[in-house]
Amino acid sequence: MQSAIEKKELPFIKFEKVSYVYMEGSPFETIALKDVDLEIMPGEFLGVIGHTGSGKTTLVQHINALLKPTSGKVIIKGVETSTEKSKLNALRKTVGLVFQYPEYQLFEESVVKDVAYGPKNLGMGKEEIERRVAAALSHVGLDIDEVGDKSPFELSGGQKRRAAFAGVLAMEPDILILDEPTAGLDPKGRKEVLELLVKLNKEENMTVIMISHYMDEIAAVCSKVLVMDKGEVSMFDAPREVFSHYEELKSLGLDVPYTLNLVQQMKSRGVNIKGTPLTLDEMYASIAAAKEGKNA
Amino acid sequence: MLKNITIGQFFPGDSIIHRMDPRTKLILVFSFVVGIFLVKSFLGYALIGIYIMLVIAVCKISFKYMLKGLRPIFIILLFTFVINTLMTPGETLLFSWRKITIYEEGLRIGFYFAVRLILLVLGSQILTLTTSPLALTDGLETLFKPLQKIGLPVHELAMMMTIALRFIPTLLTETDKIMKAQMSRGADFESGNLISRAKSLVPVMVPLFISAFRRADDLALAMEARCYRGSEGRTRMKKLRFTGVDLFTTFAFLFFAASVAAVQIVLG
Repeated sequence: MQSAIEKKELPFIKFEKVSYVYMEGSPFETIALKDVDLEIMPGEFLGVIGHTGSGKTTLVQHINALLKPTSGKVIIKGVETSTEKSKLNALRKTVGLVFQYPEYQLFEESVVKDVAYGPKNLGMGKEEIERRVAAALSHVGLDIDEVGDKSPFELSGGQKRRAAFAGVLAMEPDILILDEPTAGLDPKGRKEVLELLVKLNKEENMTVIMISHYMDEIAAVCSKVLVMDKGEVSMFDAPREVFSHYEELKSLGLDVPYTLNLVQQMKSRGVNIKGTPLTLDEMYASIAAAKEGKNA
Repeated sequence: MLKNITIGQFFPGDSIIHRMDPRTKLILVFSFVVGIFLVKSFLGYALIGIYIMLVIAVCKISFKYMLKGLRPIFIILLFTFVINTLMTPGETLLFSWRKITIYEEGLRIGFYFAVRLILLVLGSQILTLTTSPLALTDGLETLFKPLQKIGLPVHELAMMMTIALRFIPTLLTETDKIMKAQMSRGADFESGNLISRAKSLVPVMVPLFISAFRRADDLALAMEARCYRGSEGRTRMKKLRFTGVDLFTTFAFLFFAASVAAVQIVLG
């Protein structure tokens, strides 16, 4: 039964033996991706983790054809990305990519104009653009009447980041990719960004792919985790499964959520605690169970 | 997409050429550039070509990589060759069609100019490929030091050059990143006429300038925080020193030059 359902639903994103080599043929040649096979289903919230230089950014840039594989195939919704140019716009309509520190890419004289840049490039009509800009700004919690006509450079850091997000959301993509969306934000800003992503994933049914170095974030929001190591897929599984490989993750220079670090600490001090709690609530439960086991 | 520019990129290594004092390299390359315009025989150029290949082999830089540096000047090369070939009047007519005439002399001069340009680029590339930008500006600064007496701010100019060189790769990476970001918002930098293409670069140039100014600000602050006050009283951690390597390579260079000169005199 299970397999029948899986067969009916085709993967949104499919990597077949994808390799990517930077500066091929020059002495600076580096292999950034090596034989990556990957299938990402619609509606997934995928977290991508890995050491700096493990190929995370290269991987996600393949999804909207900013990079094309040196060998292998990337197939998005059944369309291969290395086909002719005319289909690129359709692909970029489907896949929205938010870069690291996206606020450094703002350029227009007003926030509204900057957010409208994407839909305009897609050749939308004036009314449709207006609708999308308003929707995107309200998604990210910016008041169009308050900041819409301001220069994006007058905004605060967090507001700039949200304006830049809106610029990508206005493309209304099915797949949203974010490269370290919370880097450099304060705790409140980080929480807001994560809440927005969860909302987009749940309510708008967007497939979200997020690169992050914060394991707690990944554990809290993702339905699946991809671990990259030296250009290869090291693990690809549910967060609980991935984070149970404590030693392996540490050896890759990665970490686990703080709850699991705590579990490890308790174990090393002789506490008989079980399970892989990912949230605070689960942590309470695990501790309570351990306490009961001790009393019994 | 902008990562394929190799001209003037430092290529780390540990060859004799890499270990030379930048001042020696600068003086030798300068002499080479002057010398190349004094050679007027095919055999002379062939000899220089062989010597350059020899030096490239010593540097352990792949020849293919060196040739890549010629790509940006290809148009100039072609232009020089064609113009010289067509415009030089001579005695021995080789080809004539309507107004186009090619003389043997023109062909020879065109060929010489093209060969000179190629050798020029290859030779000076050896300097920039084997010398870190820092060593290069250090070398220039010490060589030009005497000009300080007539009021030329040598140190400041060298510092400006260092900073400019240091930020070229950074800005290239940045440009690449911004272009990609705007492309994923549907920007198209490749089609349309000249004006619309220039217009399409605005979303790249504005963020690029802003980030360049921000970097400049940060850098100025960081330099001030470390008490940078210009050249006065500033000492160096790594003093430039002439060594045996410099002596050896200078003699090798003189030998090369002498052999080319001999060929020139005997056959010319």
